Amino acid sequence: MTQTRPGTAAAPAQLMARLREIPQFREIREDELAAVARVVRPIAVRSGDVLFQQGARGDTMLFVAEGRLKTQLVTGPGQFTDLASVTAGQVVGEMAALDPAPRAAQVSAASDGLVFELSVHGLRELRTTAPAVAATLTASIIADVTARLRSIDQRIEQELHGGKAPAPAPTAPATAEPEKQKEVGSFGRLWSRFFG
Amino acid sequence: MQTIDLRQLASLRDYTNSELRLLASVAPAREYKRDASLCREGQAGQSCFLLAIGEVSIRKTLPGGEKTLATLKSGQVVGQMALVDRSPRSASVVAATDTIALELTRDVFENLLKASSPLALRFQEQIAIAGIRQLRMANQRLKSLLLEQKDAAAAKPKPEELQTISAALQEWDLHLDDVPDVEVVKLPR
Repeated sequence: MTQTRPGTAAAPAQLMARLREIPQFREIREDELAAVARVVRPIAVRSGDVLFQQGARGDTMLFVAEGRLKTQLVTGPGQFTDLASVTAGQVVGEMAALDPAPRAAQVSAASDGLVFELSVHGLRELRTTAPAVAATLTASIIADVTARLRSIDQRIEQELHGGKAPAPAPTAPATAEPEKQKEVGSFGRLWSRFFG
Repeated sequence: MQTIDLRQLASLRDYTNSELRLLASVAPAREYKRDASLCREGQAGQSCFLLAIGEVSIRKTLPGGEKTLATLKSGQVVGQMALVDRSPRSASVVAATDTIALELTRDVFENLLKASSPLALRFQEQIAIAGIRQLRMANQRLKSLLLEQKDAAAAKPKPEELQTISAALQEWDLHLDDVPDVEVVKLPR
């Protein structure tokens, strides 16, 4: 794998321009982009490079700037099940980075390309140096994780219903959240209980 | 009435006292008796919950009735998915014990997701981690389900195998229904 460190092989201006191509960084201010450039590491990848090993621990995530990565489940020696394709603008590896655990799948480059590596420490540093960017990045991770959760839930339902789309879940009419439970005292009382 | 000390919750240990005060001011604590619903499958989501005291069950309607998929304990966030993507609740959340939960309404939740104050940033990470843990549980469920199905498929004769068995049985004037416990043994070729 060829690795390029900021300020060395890639000139800062080039680095900033490549970062700007990533949708999450397209709208941010120049000083915020500079803060991002300080905490990410550009990695030029070649097709076939393994970027994350399944089962390995790690605290980094990758933003794809160019090219395509693939996630695969390693089911045995030399045996893989393709899970997903990760294309420009998408992020991968954020699960193990934010909530430490062994990597759930292998991530490798499906084509030559460029990715930016961000560690969880880098993300936390952005909370101070570019809080709006940290918020945007975390919000995009939340949206991505939620979409994947929905997709897995639907797949589970299909499997449970013999491969067919399940009937809609029982839905109560109208806005229909359960009736509100009683609030535990007023805020003033809570305040005194928490801090008082 | 129980006393809640938010500082005791592991998931809130990084919050400062002033952040906890702010959180308490926007997320009122609500009390749920055992078996009361915090939210129901299929409904539109209006709130999510930070469990302060007690445990809740995540229940889902499956073939054969409602089943418990997971139990979440104090300190965890639940019900955020329907607020993030505005889809109906994917499961019901029911108090497994007497429970106190801080309720974050949609407005509060969305404001916290958009803001970039230290409190909002901590909260966002917490929501991301809650989703990640739920995703891991779902992945595990799917994996177990697929393995069960694979085992079941391996144990069950395929249609062409059944036809071969059926033809062989007819030579002895028998029918498949006469031998309900057929074990298929594949001979090496």
